[in-house]
Amino acid sequence: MNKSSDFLYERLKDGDETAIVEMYDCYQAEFLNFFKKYDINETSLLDIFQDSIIVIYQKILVENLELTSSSLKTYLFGIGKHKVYDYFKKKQIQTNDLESLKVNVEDLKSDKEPNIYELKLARGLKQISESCQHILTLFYYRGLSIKDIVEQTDYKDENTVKSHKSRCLKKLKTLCKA
Amino acid sequence: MKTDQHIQDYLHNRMRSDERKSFENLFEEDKDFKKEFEEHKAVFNAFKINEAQRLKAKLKSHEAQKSSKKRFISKPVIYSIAAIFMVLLGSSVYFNFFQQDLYKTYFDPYPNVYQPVVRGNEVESTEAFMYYENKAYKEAQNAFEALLQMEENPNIRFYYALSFLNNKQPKEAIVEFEKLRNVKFEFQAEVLWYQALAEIQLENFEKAESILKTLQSKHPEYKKKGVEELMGDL
Repeated sequence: MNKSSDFLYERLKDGDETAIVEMYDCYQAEFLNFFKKYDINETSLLDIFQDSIIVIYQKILVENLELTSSSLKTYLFGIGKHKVYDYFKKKQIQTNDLESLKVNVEDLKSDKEPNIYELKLARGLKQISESCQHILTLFYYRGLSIKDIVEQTDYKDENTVKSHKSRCLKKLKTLCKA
Repeated sequence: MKTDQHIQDYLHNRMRSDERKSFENLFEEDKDFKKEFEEHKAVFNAFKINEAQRLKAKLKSHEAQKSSKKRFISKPVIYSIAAIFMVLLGSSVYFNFFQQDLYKTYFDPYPNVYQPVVRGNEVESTEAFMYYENKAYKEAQNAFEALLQMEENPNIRFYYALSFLNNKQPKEAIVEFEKLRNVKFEFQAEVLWYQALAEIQLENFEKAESILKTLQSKHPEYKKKGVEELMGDL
């Protein structure tokens, strides 16, 4: 990667959300221009671009995507190709270009559509207390160990974290059953 | 706990490929472990859904801001008319005209990022958010008001205030924003941004500037460029 995309990547890795907007502005014109040839309307293409930005950010932040040989831009365009491919598949549009959109990198594939239980959990997460949201975010979303959570927060020890996490998870599950 | 740690390492890609393979074999063999893994993964995915929704709203608002600026800049006619106004009617008229345009340039209806309206998951607030999403702001106001009478909820009050603002009732919106100024909740930065825009609509430019300064100091990363540009335009 070149120096500037390297720096952008490091900031994305740190969860710096201003870097997302920067990445958005940096690659938008080129991305839209590149995918114009696939005959997708402007609104859907912009949607695909925004979704691709979100996917790459989440992959870097929570799935520890390591970019070595591939640059940020290449990876973003790869995700875009998969999304455009899915778009045509979903709309059942046959196009000669469909094959050219296949990228054989597992990482770049879109996540499966969320199931009902996941949607319920997502809604429940918005209803639990802020402290519960915080601890569950650190553990489940950011993947921090109990020890790391103690180090990064004001919890006094690992047992306190464990019991608070369990109570919050229980509360979340109760909300989802309601 | 070790199990949790393994699941975390798997979901967050902290395993070597041979470790991933043996992990996958393990949950194929052990049904209880698979169940535990699926539960953990579901919470992980739920967070991803919410975060993706929040980020999408952020990018959409950024895009709308960019497009409205483009429109604003690409209409030299507006500047010509403003210049004529300046010559003919004096600088005070121009000043007001320009400042009113500021509101339109910077204002984007805030999306419903609090409670997605999903079929089959209706709760009491679904109706209110459905109205809000469909831009039926008067109906949304009534529905949010009814919810607030049952129970105080800053998130609901925030959307109640926004319904006023979207319905061109900045005064009423400000009353509600004021109630939220010292409440710690998800949309603290948004409250300051939209209250500043409401003040601009009422031509209370000094008040707007002071709110934007508070926004800059309390939430320096929120709409960083937008806040700077708006302050420069004031």
